[in-house]
Formats: sequence, structure tokens, C-alpha cells
Amino acid sequence: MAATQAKQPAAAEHADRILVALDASPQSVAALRAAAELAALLEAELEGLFVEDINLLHLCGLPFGREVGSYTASVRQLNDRAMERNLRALAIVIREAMEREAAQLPVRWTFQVRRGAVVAELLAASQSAAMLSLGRAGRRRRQTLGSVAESVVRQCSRPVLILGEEGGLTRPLSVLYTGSEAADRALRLAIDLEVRNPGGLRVWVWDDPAAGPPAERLQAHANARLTEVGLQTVAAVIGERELPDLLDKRNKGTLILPGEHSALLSRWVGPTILVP
Amino acid sequence: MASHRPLAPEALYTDCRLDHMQFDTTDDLEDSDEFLGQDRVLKAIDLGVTIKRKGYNIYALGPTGVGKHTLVRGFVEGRAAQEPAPHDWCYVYNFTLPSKPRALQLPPGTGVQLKHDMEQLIEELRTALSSAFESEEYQTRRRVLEEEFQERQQESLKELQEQAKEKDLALLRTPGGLAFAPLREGEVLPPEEFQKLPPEEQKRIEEEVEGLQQQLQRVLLKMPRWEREFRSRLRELQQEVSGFVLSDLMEELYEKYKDLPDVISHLQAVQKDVSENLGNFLESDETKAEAKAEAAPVMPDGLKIAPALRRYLVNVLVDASEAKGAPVIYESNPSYLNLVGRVEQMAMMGALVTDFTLIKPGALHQANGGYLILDALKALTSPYAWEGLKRALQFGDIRIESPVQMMSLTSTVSLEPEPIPLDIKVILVGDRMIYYLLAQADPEFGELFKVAADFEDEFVRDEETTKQYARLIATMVRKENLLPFEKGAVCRVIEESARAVEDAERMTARMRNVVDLMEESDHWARAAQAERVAAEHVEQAIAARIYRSDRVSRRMQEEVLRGTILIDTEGEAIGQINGLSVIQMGGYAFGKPARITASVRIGRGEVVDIEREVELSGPLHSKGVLILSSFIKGRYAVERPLSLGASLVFEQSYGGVDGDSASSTELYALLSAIARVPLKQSLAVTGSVNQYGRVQAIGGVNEKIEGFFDLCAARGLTGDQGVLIPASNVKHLMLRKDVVEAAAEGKFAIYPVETIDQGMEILSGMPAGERDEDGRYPEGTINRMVEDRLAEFAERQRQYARANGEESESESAG
Repeated sequence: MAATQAKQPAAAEHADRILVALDASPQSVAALRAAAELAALLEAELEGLFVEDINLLHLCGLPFGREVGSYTASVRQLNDRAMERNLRALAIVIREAMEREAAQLPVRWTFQVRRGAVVAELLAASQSAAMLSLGRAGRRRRQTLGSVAESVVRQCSRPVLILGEEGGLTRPLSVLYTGSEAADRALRLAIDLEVRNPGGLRVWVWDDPAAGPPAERLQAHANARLTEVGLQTVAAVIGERELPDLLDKRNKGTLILPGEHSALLSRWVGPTILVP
Repeated sequence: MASHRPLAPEALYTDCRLDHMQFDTTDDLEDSDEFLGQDRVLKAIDLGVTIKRKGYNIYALGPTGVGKHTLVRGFVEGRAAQEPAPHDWCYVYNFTLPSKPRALQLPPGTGVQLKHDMEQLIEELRTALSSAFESEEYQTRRRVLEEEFQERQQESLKELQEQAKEKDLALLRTPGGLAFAPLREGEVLPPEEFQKLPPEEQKRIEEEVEGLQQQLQRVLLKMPRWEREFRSRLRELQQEVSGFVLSDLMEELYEKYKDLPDVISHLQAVQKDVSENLGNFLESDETKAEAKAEAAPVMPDGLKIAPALRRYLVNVLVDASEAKGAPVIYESNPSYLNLVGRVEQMAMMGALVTDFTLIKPGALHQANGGYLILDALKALTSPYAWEGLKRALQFGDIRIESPVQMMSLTSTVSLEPEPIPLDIKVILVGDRMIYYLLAQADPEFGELFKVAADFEDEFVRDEETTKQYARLIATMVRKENLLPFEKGAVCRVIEESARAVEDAERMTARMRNVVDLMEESDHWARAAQAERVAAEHVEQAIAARIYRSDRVSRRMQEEVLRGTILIDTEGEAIGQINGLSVIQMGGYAFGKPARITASVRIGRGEVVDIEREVELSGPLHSKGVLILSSFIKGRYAVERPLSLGASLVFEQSYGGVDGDSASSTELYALLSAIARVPLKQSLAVTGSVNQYGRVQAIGGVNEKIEGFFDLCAARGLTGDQGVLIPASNVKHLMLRKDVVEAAAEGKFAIYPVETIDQGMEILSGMPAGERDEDGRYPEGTINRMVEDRLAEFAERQRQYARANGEESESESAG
């Protein structure tokens, strides 16, 4: 894994597949839509993945496998046959949703169902994809990332697109540039997307007096990148003080973050691409 | 025998000279009162509009073309201008009963203001509320609430999670909820592994899971309550923030409308409703933009506002801000909906929906506080309009219901707008016939239309009225933008208006016909490139009019001239006479001579009217024949039975006759046949007769004379020809110029006749004779000859009866 990470190419450069993690949640539908848009934009193939959670199946096999309804609080016996049927039905629904979404744009697509631990399966599948798209969390509305998303973000070696309930790859793109390698890749991805489909691009240079090269140099570097491809955008320097403005809910658009800033995901609920 | 003089030419045509007026053309004349000669109507309408009581509505009745509309409108508008402007009426949302919109009565001009103020209020609330809810203060306080709530949830779950972790158990999310499972190396223990565990271990795990499940249940049961608490606290916060904004904005309105308690109570309801439905003002910009984009092309302005906010709008039904005086409305299409208003509906997502902003006013709303003028016939022929009008007048309010609703045919959800009190004068304009029919057939009509304004058809023609009439003509000339009329032309028009009512001493009040003639005269004047309309142009217009319509009369005359229809205009004949009839075809009437013959024989006193036998005569004609036979009995057969059998016939009449104007004519023919006295065929006769032999007035005298004159003129006037008319018809004479000229030259004579005796003398050239002291008519008189002949019939009858014995005795006794 370390080897691939070292020679991580920009996703867009040979983007051939975009993986989307699917369950039946509204967020995953949003993730699907965003991924499909991205696939169309990058001329990539869309790959849907539904993981039948092995933990759930194990649970059903246990004699005390019971669930407590989250609204009714009633206790129900779980049954592995029923669960399997349930998961199969879910897979069909998801596949149909995917077919619809893909047909609209249109993009090439595949869909597969795997059985196993969700995070592990997603990570494994993401190895052969240019990017992974998934929803922020399960059913409950909340600021924080769901446990699956959190694990994936922590471990994935590919850019991860994270969608809340209100989905879609909204514009403009705001990219946070810190001068790290990940930040370089993030900037490249942002520029690539903007060039392919102009919709507004903002580049924020992270002024961190504690570490790293001075902000002016980073700004100059970023601006050079921008002018290279003929974009008019000028990078702006921001510090901790301006961060709340950037993360303001009304500030619609997609945020592109370098991997080291994944913590910001707990303060921003809009669509995000995290580039490791 | 007294000599019978024909009428002097002056009596045949009462011309108009206007010598008492100094003017050259109509340009020199002042405008006149257009309501000439309609004093009765003016008084009636005045009464109707002055009495402010229920039912004093007006029906203006009269023939078409007398200017009913013009007069009614002119009069009522004059009156309305001095009356106060009506109220404004608005419909507003009823917050307690949404299906029954409230009606607000407001001083003139206030409705539009209120509407504007409410629209502004919505707009201001929208911005003020959304900025209040975006304020740092609100957002922070809200976030605190949300976080408290989320923390409370998560804390309780986290606690469970911790407990589970201690026991090597995991809290898992299942499709339908939460579950606990034993963990090993971060994964759920597969069942087969679980089976391998020692039974005590299995039991322990099972018990622990159960314990945790129970705890989880307890936590989950609390969650909805926490959520409710959170919502209510959030609402309190919103109320607090919005209350400040709202009361600030409303205060201004309360101050502005403080004198209008209804408005104040509505505003209070609005304030309460807004504070309960703040969410409506806080929709996201996106949905607003979408809604606008969808709605924009098809919907009127008011509808572009989000449906949830429309309830705060004001629907101004009647706006009197521009009104000067009371309204006068003429509704040209008085359909039910146009009268009482309607609740429109619009299609939304395939369904028809409606609300109070879609209430549309009817003519009754527009005219409320003033006058509504309607055509009676149109109001009666529009389905339900008459019923709707009557109901509104009867109950004194305007209730907007669709006809379908009114008849309870459907019960779809619709609106029942609050009825608006009605204070109105309705003026129906229509024919006399409709008035009388309604009065007879509709019991409510008399109660609701208590004032009848009956228009005159004609005016008296004297010096004063002619003067006014001339000025009226001048007014029309200006109003219709006609070339100025010369004095002669004005006179000619006046003469023609007298001719139109067939009366030398009257003029028509049907100004439309007069204006038509004036317009046509103007046309001929312009065609001749004249700058003024002269008498000759009027003459030309009249001639053209006759020419356009006299095809049938020409054809009939041709047939007489060709000998197909037998009418003699010279010579003498027994029992044969020229009668005169009038044929009316559309707006054109013409006289037509008809041969009437009588034959006599011995009989039992009956005069057979052949027309009647074959049902070709109307009742009036039959009555005339019965009267004339009664005259014969009364005069000649008082003391002995009338042993006469006679038949009368209108020769070559195939279409039926009615009217008694030929009864004198028939009597002459009969007397001629009885007395065997020949009658002059150069004369024609008209006039009805009574039982005592007096000749009475008839209608259409001018056309009748002209009809016979035309025939004689076509054959060549001999100087013997003429017409006998009832003396009481002389005042109606307005004969054509050529007739008058021929009379003046002595080529055509018009004899006024008062009695049958006079007529017989003229027709036969013999004296009629009067009874002497012995009660006998002198020898050599017509009456003597009639009496003798009838006596002879009676004698023969008696001889005949005797010869035939009992049979006839029994018959005569019967």
C-alpha cells in the first residue's frame, strides 16, 4: 500500500473507474449521483458496490440475534434467511437506482455485490478505482462522519468523495492548498475538473505560521499552476480566522481537501473530496 | 243631394315650415334636451331612484328605437354624479373558517391601499424574518439546542456502547434498528464459533446481550420525547425572535387602520397566523426560485406568491378609488356569473383548486351603491340570470354561488364567500310585451320592480314641440357627425317623422328611425358632394328606401295592370267595389286595392261572409260583417223579417284578411247589390262602420290612398278617381307629394265620409234619402230602393212559404 501511495497519480490523469459505495440510504443515492456526474466529466466508468455486511449475517445466526427498532424500540428476532433475502432485495433496488442514474447522463457502469466486512471490502475495491464516492453516514442526521466513512477516509489511498443527504457535485469548487503532496494532488484535481467543466474555482492557501513554507510562496506556486492552464482564478491566503467563513453552510459548493485536513469534515457538511 | 267636396290639398299633407324659427342650417341651432316629450318616464325614473326602499327598481318599457337606453343612462348618470362614491369591497382569508372568505367593507380607495400594504408586509416579513433567523444570535441559540439534543441522544447510546465494549460486545446498526453482538478481532463472532464456546460462556453472553437490549429499549423509548421537547424549545425560540420583528411591522398597520375595526381584527388574525406558521416565510431560496420559474409564464401576479403566503393577500373586489359619484353600470351580457360574480379555479398539478383571491366580482358588485342597467330580454334569456338577480334583490345581498352549486348538483369543495350587502337600483330596459308578461307570470316581478317607466311612442306636433324637435335633430346631427341639415331638410325629416306615426298631428319618438333617415340623407348629400344636407337629399333617401323595399308591391301592381288581378278603375258596376288593404312587410307597409263583391237573393236574413266560411278571415273582419248585417236589419227590416240572403267576398284574396276597415266597403257593395244601383269603379273605399251607419276611423290611411293612386296613375289619371276615407282619418293624412299634387290639379279626389249615406251618394251619384213624416224614404233614393227590394224579397218569401205549406211554417217557427 505504501508503494502505491508514494507514486499516487492524480486521479483524473488515468481515471478509468469511479467506485461508489451503495446502500439504501439517501446519502448513498447522493453519492451515486455525484459519482455519476464525476464519471461523466472524467469519462470514467461508474462502478457500484453493495456490500452485504458479514457482521449482520453473523448476528442473525446467533441465538440471541435480535434488533431493537430504532423508532418503536420493540425487540425483533433476526433471522439469517430473512436477512439474506432482505439484502438481496436491497441490492436489486440499488441496482435499479444505479441504472436510472447512469442512463440519464449517460455513463458506462457496472454493479457488484460482495459479502464481507464493509470497510475492508470498500478499501479493497477502491484499489482498482480512481476515486471512491460514499455517503457521510447511516440514517441519523448528524454532523459527524459515520463510522464506515470515517474508517474509509482514514485508510483509503484514493480520493474519496463524501456526500451528505443533499447531494450532487455543487459548484464552485473550493480547494484548500497547504503545499503538501496531497495538497498538490488536490489542486491538480480541482484544476482538472474546472478545466473540463468551468463552474467556478476558488483556491485557498492555508497560512499556518507554525509549520510549512511561507504562505506567499505557496500562493505564488498555486497561482503559477492556475495560469499554466489559463485559469483566471487567483489564490487567496486564509488562516484559522477565516476558516468559519469558508465552512459556512451558505457557502454552497464542493470542498476539496488534502488528506491531512480530514478533521474539517466534522465542521463541513457539504460535498467534499478528500485527496490523500 | 248634398254636394260632396273632396278634401283641399292642404288637408292632405300638413307640411312643416318652421317659419317661427330663424335658422339656416342645424349649425345655427342649440342643442336640445334629448329626453324630449318623455316627461312621464322622467318622473317615473326620478321616483324610482329617489325612493330608497326595497323593490323600487325600475322597468323602462317602450318600443325599440325610442332611446330608452340613452335616456335611462343619461338621467341616471346625472343623478349618480351627485351621489357619494361607493365603498370598496375586499375579500380576505378567513383564518377560522378558510372555506368562507371574509368580506371587508372599506372607505373608497382603502381597498387598494390595504392590498398594497399586505403585499409589502409579506415581502418585509420574508426578508425581516429570514434575516432574523439568519442572525448570529438565532443561529447560535439554535445550534446550542440542536447540540443539546444530539448530545443527549449520543450520550445515552455512547454509554451503552461503552458498557458493551467492556463486555466484548458491539452495538450494530441493522436495517431496522440496533442490535448487540459479541465481537472478536473487531468482527462479529460467526455463529459456528459461538457454538464452540462453552455453554456457560454462551449463556453469559446471551444474558449480557439481553440486559443491554433492555437498556437500549429504555433509551430509545425516550428519544421521541426528547425530540418533541427539542421541537417545542425550538419553536419557543422562533416565536421569541419572530415576535419582535412581527410586532414591529404590524404596529404600523394597526396605527394606519385604527379607525376600521374589521381591518384591525383581520390584522390581528394575520399576526397570530404568521407567528404560528413562520416556516412559510423561511423556505429556501432555491424552492422560491423554482416556484417562481414554474409559475411565472401562466399565472397572474398574485399567484406567483407562494401558496402558503397567499392567505395574507387582499382580493380587492370593488375599487372605488377612482369613482366620481355612485357607479352606473350597464352590463351588456347579463349572464348569471357576470351578474353575481364567480369563484374561479385554476389547475394545479392536475387538480382544480381555488382560494379567496380567485373570487371575481360581478356587475352587482360593481354597481353596488349605485345603478345597474340591464336589457330585460338578455337577463331573461341567460340561464339562471333572472333567478339570480331576483334573489339578490330579494335578500339584499350578493351571494357568490355557481349555478351548479345553487342547484345543489355537486358538492365539491369550494368557497362560500361571505355575502356582501346589496344597495342598488336595477333598471331593466325592454319591450312592453316583456313587461306585461312578467307582470302577469312572475309574482315576484311586481314586488321587485315597482316602478314602470313607460316611454311615449309619439309626440304631439305643435309649434313648440316642432321647435324642440328641430333642435333635437340638430343635436343628433352633431352627435352622429353628419353634414349640417338645411332648414328644408329639417322640415322634411319632421314631416317624415309625422308620416312614420301616420298622423299629421304627431311625430314619432323612435329617434333611431329618424337618425337612420338622417344618416341616409347624409349619405346622399355626400354622394352629391354637397356640404349640407338639403331637402332633396332627404327626399332621395326616402325614395331609395321605398325602392329598396317595394318589390312585392310593384309585382302586385304589375299583375293588376296585366289583368291577372281584376281591379277596375273606371266605369260602374252593381255589387262590386274597390276596397283597400294594407300589407306590412318588415319595416315597409303598402296599400293594395282589392275587389269586393256582394250578391243577394231571397233568404233568411243571413249575410254569408265567404272569407269567414273558409276561415280566411280574422275575428275583426267577421265582426265587421256581423255589424253591417245588423245595420241592414236595423235600418230596413225593423217591422218585417229580413228575407235576404247575401254573400260577400274579397275577390282574389288568398292569404286571409283581418281588420274591420273594409266593413263600410262591404256594406256599399251589399247595398248596391240589393238596390241594383251601380257604383263607380273609379273610387276606392276604406273605413269601418257601426250599427248606425256611421263610418269610423281605420289605420294605414296614407298607404291605402297611395296604393290606389299608384294603380290609377299607372293607368292614367282620369280626374274621376279618388278614395273615400272616414272623416275622422283626415288628421292622419300625410300623403306623398305626387298624390297631393294630383289632388291639387283636380286629378284625384279624397272624400271624407261620415256616414254610409254620404258614401253611397258619392259612389252612386244618387241621393241616399231620409225618411219623411210617414217613415218612408222618398222615391228615387237609394234607401228607398233598398227598402223596396227587401220588401219585395219578404213578400216573395211569404208567398213561397204559403205555397209550400206546413213544411216551411214549421221551419219559420223554428
